Amino acid sequence: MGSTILDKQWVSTKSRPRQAYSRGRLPIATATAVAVMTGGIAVSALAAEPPPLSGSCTVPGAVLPCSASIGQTYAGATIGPADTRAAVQGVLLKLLGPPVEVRPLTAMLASSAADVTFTPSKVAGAQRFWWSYTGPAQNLAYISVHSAGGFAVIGVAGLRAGTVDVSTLLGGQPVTGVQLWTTLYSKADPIVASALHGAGFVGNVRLGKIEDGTVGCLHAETASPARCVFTPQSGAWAETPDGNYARTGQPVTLDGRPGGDYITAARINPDGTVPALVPSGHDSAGYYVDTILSRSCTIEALGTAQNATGQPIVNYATREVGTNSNPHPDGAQPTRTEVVKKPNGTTVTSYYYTGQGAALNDRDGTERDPSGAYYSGSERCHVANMGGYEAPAAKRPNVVWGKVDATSTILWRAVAAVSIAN
Amino acid sequence: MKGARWVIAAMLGLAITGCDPSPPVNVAPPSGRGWSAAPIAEDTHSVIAQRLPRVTYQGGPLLLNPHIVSVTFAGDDPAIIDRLVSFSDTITHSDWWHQAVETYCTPSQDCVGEGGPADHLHVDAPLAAQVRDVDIDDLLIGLAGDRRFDTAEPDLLLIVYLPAGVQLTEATSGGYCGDGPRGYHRSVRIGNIKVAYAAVPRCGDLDATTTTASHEILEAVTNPDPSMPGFALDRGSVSGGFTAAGAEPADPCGLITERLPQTIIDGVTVHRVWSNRAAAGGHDPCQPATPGAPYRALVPDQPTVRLDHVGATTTIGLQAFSDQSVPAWATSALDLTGYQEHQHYLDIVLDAVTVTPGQKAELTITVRSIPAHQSAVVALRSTFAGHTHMWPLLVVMR
Repeated sequence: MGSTILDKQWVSTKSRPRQAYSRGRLPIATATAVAVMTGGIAVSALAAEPPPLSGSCTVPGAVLPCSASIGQTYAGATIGPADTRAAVQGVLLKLLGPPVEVRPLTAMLASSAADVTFTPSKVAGAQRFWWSYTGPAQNLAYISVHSAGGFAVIGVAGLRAGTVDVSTLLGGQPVTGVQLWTTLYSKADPIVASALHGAGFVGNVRLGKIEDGTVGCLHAETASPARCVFTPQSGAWAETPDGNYARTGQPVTLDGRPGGDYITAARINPDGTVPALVPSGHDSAGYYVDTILSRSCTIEALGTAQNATGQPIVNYATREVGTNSNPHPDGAQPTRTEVVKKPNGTTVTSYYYTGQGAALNDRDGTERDPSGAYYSGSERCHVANMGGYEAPAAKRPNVVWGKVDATSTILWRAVAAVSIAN
Repeated sequence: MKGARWVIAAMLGLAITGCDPSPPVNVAPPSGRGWSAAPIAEDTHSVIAQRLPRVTYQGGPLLLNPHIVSVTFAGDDPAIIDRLVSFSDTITHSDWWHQAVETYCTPSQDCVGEGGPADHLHVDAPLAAQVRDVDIDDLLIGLAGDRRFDTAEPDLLLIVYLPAGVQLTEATSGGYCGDGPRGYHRSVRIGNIKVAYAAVPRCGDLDATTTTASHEILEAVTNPDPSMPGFALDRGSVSGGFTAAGAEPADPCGLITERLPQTIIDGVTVHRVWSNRAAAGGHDPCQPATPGAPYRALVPDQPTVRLDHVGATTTIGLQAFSDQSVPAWATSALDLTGYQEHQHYLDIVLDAVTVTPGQKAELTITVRSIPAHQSAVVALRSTFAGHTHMWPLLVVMR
């Protein structure tokens, strides 16, 4: 056995076995990777009857990428030649657990199309190709690559381009089509901390890895992604055997001072998860323990007023929220109005809302009920993606120089450092 | 499926939320079980039954037929090791277990059942005097690497029994035992498989150890991955008081029994756990309770109160109930969280010192200081003949 606590002077030096991710390019499904997943199952040569795919998602503990064969059943969905959404969802449910909801970003593609470029341009018949996506969706998460015998699912969350090699995953069968998928939910990838510094460390709180002294961050108003310097003085952070992490949702400046215009963010793993503090499963012996956040959160589209689930926000705002939004996107009723004269001489009417649905600006992106307690459930927890990073999402008006602009529109934005709604 | 048979009912397209709060109970033994349970009778007239929350299925994985492997260490008392190994072998075949898991069936009727046989693991080396939870993760990864156990064993659950003198610590709650927690459970990723385990430090004698072990075994079986709840109380404000010390099936009983959750069944000391059957009947939800003993409760009109600043005050109504015809009993109210944390968060005034069933009372709460976690529990206590029942009221201070 390697380093253990059986020695009196134990020193933690062992890295945890975590999936390695590559950034800026796709994790290529190599023969080595497939051998690990399948235990080295030999790949059959093409025959008149399509052979079963290798790299099966049915392997215990399977991770992406993996492949599913026609006739296999995942979470009640039997893989067939049609209804790819149910099939892909079934595979992801098995691998990631509920809830899973993928939505097609493209139709089944045999060659390049709008927003999607393949090299070679025709992927039908190919087994290795380069792809890129240039459309607006920030929640692209999976690519399914189809053949006559089934399909392979590859995690591409947070990525915009890469190379796919399915020669082993598809058992040598030629590609018949490729489909891109977005995901509705972001999930926590639990991480155990060895020490915590600062406040706000509740179960499932998302974490951004501190690398080379910086952490991912999004500008609170523009959502532009960046790397912000993060020091022990910047905010709350956790030590883990895998390195140090900053709690997401903290305001910082680009040079690492607390309270800036940027919000700490987590890098999205290709399988669509983000690092998060593992919830304590301890027997507190009757003592108060802090809440546990939802493991899954809904990914909202920044800059829009529409909610991804289609359901209105019900967060109970204890503060008055001023905005030019009327009618309110979540059905709140104004309590008063105010005519504001702008510097250019024009006038704008501000509408003020409070109570249920008025706005949301919580550091964990989670809605509260009238008693101030968090609602549970994925649909009440909200995150936003940009440039491969994820931050808690807020549905709020704009903030200018630290003050709410009551003449701005309520939209999905990154969480702001000022008090809005609650 | 080979390997850990973690069942995710939602994979079958079943709704995760909106589960029937009292899952259907079969007359014939359901899948995963060799016994059946009588249907639950909801007492629709009982206010207690209406107000007590229920453990429901939240969609996460389960260990339906756990293979419980005890992990013990050199330096521990061999007699205690024998007792703990025997406990691990037999606990899921006990009446306590049958009662504890009787309603734990998913909507697709996959039910938590009895455990299977397992080869226990004794480590022939003593542990360090101080051990962190992350060290135990690495220890198990190392033992798996040495093939001391098979990570692909279906429904595998490792119970790591720390010997006396070994102090356990973790980042979120500091030290274990004393005023700290008594044990924990979670899963550790070993290769591509998540393996469920629990750690049980020696916080007291054998009875204290089996009490904690029973707590952790039940919760690890019903929630092997705490980030994805399996069977648990909902954490919303409706049940906020009851879940203040955790939402898994044994946690509320550590709270409302005021840290006296143990009971003896067939000569073995175990933890009392939440019973949907008892809750549905308006009885003491932490079972096994003292047979025949009436359940008395001072029930608030609202389960959660919000007071968002120092000096904020409110008065809420309470009403006394019992599941039997009983004489008057003594009542009191306590800033429980403040008491536990040696702080003074709330001023509490209860306008009654004794109540009879149906009698109303008023409770006035004023915020003195706000804890970092911005919440506190008020214990509404009902005491008779030296026995106390507690109903928790959550005060949110944000």
